Amino acid sequence: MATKKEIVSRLEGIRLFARCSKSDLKIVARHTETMRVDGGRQIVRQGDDGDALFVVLSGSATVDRDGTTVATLGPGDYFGELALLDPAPRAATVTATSDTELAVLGVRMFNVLLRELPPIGARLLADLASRVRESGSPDPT
Amino acid sequence: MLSALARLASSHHRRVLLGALVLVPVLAIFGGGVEEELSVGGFVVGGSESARGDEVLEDVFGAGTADWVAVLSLRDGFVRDDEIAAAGVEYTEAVAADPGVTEALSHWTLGEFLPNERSPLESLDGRHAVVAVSLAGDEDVQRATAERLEEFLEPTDLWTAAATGPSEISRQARERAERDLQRSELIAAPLTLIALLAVFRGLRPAVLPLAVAVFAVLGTFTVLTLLAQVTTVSVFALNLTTGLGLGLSIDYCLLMVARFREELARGRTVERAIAHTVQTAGRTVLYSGATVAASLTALLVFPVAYLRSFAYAGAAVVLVACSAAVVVLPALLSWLGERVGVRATEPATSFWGRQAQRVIRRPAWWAIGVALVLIVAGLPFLRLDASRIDDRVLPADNPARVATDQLREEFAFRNFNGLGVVALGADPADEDGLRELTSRILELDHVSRVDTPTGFYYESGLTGTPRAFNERFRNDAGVWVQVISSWEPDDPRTEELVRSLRDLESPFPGIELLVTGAPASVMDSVDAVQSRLPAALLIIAVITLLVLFLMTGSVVVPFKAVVLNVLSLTATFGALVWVFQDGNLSGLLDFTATGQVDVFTPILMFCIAFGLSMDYEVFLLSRIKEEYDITGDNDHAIVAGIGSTGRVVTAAAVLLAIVFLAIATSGVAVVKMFGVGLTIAVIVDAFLVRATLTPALMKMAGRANWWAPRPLRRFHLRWGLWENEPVALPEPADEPELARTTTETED
Repeated sequence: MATKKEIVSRLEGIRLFARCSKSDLKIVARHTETMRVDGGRQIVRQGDDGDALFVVLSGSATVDRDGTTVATLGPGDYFGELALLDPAPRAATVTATSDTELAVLGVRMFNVLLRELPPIGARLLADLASRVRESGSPDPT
Repeated sequence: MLSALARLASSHHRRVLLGALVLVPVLAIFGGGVEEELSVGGFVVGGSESARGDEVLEDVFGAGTADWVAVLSLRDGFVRDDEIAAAGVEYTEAVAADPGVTEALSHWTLGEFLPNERSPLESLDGRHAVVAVSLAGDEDVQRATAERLEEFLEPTDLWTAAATGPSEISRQARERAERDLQRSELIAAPLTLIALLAVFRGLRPAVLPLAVAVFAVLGTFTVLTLLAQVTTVSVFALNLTTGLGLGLSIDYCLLMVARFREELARGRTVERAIAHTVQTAGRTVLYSGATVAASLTALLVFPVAYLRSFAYAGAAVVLVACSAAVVVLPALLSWLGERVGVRATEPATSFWGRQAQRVIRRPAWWAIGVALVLIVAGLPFLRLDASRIDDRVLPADNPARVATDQLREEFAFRNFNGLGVVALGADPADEDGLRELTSRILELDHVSRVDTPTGFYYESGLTGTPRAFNERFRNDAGVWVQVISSWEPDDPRTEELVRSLRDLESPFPGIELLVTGAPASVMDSVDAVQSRLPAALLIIAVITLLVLFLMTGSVVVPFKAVVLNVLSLTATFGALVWVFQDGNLSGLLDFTATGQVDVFTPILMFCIAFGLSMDYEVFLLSRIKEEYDITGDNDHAIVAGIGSTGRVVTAAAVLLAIVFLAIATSGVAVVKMFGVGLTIAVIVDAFLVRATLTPALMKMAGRANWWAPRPLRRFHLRWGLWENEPVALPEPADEPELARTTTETED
């Protein structure tokens, strides 16, 4: 089992939390659960309600929309935020392609932290803008 | 922790239920005989002047106040007739021979009286006599003695007899209250069951609160049984246990079942619905329980075993009910699954959701209007005159009440409530000191007579001849005198006299004077409660503020919660003063108003009402906060929170009101007050405070509801009471279950 201290040190390397202070990360770690998923297991399914944000700590996953793989995710990538920001069914299915470890933030705490820790919101906006600019497809999920 | 409990309930519900089934008879065995272990007393203020004085009177002088009084009404003849006098002496000696009797006095044993001299123990018409009996030991021992003395109430050829006195009144009140409570349970049980069926909409869910209540009550009985081995626990703690136990069980079950049904209606599996229910509603139950249990421990500041017992029972019943609600109830829900019913109510369109919308359209109107009603209802509380119970708590036809009325009409009643001034260690031969003490007492206002070792001294200047009886006022260990007030024991002027006596300078160098007697003891009780009440209330307020801050992260909402609780309870107590102290509606409710309110009963009521009221507040706040956290929309959060919990709160209040109204049918005035007061409390709180004032004030405060200084906000984020929502992966569709591990982190 990962201790909070270990989670904090692993979150430090994640892009979404890059602008957070150590104290911010302790707060994020307080509300984050870790989850291990076997390779081949679905993490989110297209059409389901979104209830969490996932951050890939290790391993890899693919993003499939209507049966077509549209992206591959690795350590540091995160997904699921759009369904929380704009409540709507998941737009894609994410499947672990190898044994994968995830940090999970539920919808309630995601919204609370977005309000209380501005660096997370700012990073999220920057990433969204970047993705819009790059692909015109803001979020695969 | 909660996610582990949820997993336990889902995966091993049969084992949990089996464990529960084994535990119930064990608790029944350990806790079933609790009543035998508890004390009927516990009202004496430990270490108070009156308590110390009483102890000296009993232990050193073998005397004391008249705890048990037999009123003998002659069939024929007069008290001073020879034949009657001989029988009277024999009767008095027989009573005095009981091992529990310290002293028995009657007209016949006081010594010779002149034909024109009035004896205090003979009626004005000479046709009734009393035997005034001091009993040894604490209230429990005295009650047992009073039971034995019943044999002396058999009618004879010469007289009929009836008993009164504090011990007898307390015994009669207790017995009558027990009978009435059994009757009220017979009335309330079927009505409550029907209401539970209506509220829970089905037989299976309707029995869930009863299952939790069984645990709460039996578990608390076991705790009290154990505690009684090491300290005094009042038998009245059982009333708190059953009242609060049933109330909280209904509250917790309503909340958990409503959430479980809601989760099922969202299409979640039973397992996920249990997980969400335990981690949301279960968390709310624990926060509420923690607040109420911690707050009730504030009663430990009172130096009165009776009140401390409420702290033990209150904290125990809340903790056991909470535990049953998050362990046994989820297992039951898991076992029942969808048989518990799948119902979804759109919060915004539910009755209470629409009510909340009405309120937030005109919040100021609602806030001012309802607050004014509550403040006006609470105004009589300012006139509260706290005292202790007397015979008038009993119905007018109760034998002890009839006997006391006889004392009032046929005798000089105040003679039976003399004040003792005890000088332990004073030289019994110090005639000068005694004379000085007597003269200082006679100089005080409101003194009718002083009985001393050297005779009887009257306010008028007359002096009564000393008799053998007067020797009871001294022995080698010291002296004491008895002071008879010019006024009845509950008259404020008698209270003034007690204070004047306590201000007297002792004429015996280095010897402290202890003032005791029934009126002094009442004053000590009232003073002990009143002097420590601010500290108790402060502790309760601080604990409430702290827990609510840890729950909400706001410094505004907890203050609002405390203010609303105070407003709600003040209105209840105001109504009680208006009815039970002032005597309004006494005809309708069939009781005798004394112009005073028992000092201890409102505290018992406060504990229960505060517990329930805080429960409702936490239910509402928790749901409103959850909605606000997700949406950041204050108005939406208020409507959704009240829309989804309003029914729970009002249904719980109605169910409890049925139970409390049944209790209010009791013939004992304090029990009636308890029932009426709690009915008002839950109805006012659920319908007026939570459904109108809470949304109105939260609307007016807007985003400020959730304000806290930044350091405190961050503290709350890091250390506050949070529970992460359960997140589960999609169930594999047409493929075998793959190994999956959900890992909780640890510090």
